[in-house]
Amino acid sequence: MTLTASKIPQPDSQLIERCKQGDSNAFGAIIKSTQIFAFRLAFKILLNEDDAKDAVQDSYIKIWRNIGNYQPKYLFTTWAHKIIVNTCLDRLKCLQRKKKITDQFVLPVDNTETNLINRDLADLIKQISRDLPEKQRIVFILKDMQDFSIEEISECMNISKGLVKSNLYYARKSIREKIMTIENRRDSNVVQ
Amino acid sequence: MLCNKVQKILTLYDLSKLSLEDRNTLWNHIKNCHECALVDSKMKNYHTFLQRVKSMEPVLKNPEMLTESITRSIQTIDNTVKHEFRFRTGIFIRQLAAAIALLIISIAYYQQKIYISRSVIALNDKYQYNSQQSRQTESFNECLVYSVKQVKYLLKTDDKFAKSILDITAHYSEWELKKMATQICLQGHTEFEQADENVKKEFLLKQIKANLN
Ligand SMILES: [Zn+2]
Repeated sequence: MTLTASKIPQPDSQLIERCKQGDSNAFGAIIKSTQIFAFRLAFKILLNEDDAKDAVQDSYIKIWRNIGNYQPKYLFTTWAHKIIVNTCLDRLKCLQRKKKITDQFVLPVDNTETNLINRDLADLIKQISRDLPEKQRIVFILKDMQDFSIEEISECMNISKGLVKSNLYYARKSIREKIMTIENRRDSNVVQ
Repeated sequence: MLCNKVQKILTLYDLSKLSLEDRNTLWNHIKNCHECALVDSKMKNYHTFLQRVKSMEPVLKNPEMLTESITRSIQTIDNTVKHEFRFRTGIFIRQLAAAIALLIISIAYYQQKIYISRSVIALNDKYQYNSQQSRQTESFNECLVYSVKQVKYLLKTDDKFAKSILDITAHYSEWELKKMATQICLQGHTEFEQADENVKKEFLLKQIKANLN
């Protein structure tokens, strides 16, 4: 089940305090308890396991470096999500630039069960959000796939709440028109 | 209610959070409007579909490997930071040593300055005392020639000293030079002759200033 920042279990405040003092073991404990949520979020934005892992790693490095600036009046996960989303967006821009080069190479296909689940999900998200402009796609993923609140999205993406709502409106409008086609295609694949 | 507004509400809002009155208005509109009914149906499909997609969470293979990899990266960064800190500390220590050396040189310089200034005061006191007692020189003219020579020599050999005098008076005439030399001569020149070069210069400057005032 998807958990929004406010519903993810928050790291203990003493653990965060220890991290601020430079205790990397305490930070290790935070990574252990939160990395799965970070990975899911990154995967849904980047739609690739390796890219998501790299983005998660970069995000935790940024979190570690900036933990001294974290203010306990905010939820730790909300603060961390902002860093993760922005790291993913930066990575996405970088990947789009590299896309033309990597398209020339055929990557080896990993058919393990885990990879099939991830590939299936990535394909599905790709199909529904394929033609969406970048902002609409990210707003759709954060709101409808990750259950972020409008305020959290506005904070993460540095855009107004009004802009979040209008992007969400157009994203949903566009996706709802595709669903029938996607469902039919998937049903016919299952029958075959 | 206008179709536009109905479709916006259907697309964007959680209908369960609307007031009963608003919900009834919405349903009445949908009942009578084919276009909005279609949007309502599509949004229901959308939410059902979304629930299905959301039930498929991506799987993280070997989570402990990811934790390990992140922790290792952080340790590497921390070590680099520590190394940078050590490097910066090294630079800081060197800068500190240079600052201390500069401070010692400055103190020595000012000690020297203080010494000169004290000697000038002592010399001045002595001259004043001598002038009150008696004339020390046997021949006034002999003394005058000697003192003028002495001042001229100092002016010629030390540009900085000459500049200091020129700064005090832009029109430094022979007459003033003689007047000053006379002053020295009248007070006796034995102590002056024996004094340190820097003391001589300082003393002369002081005399010139006094004469101008
Ligand atoms: Zn209508």
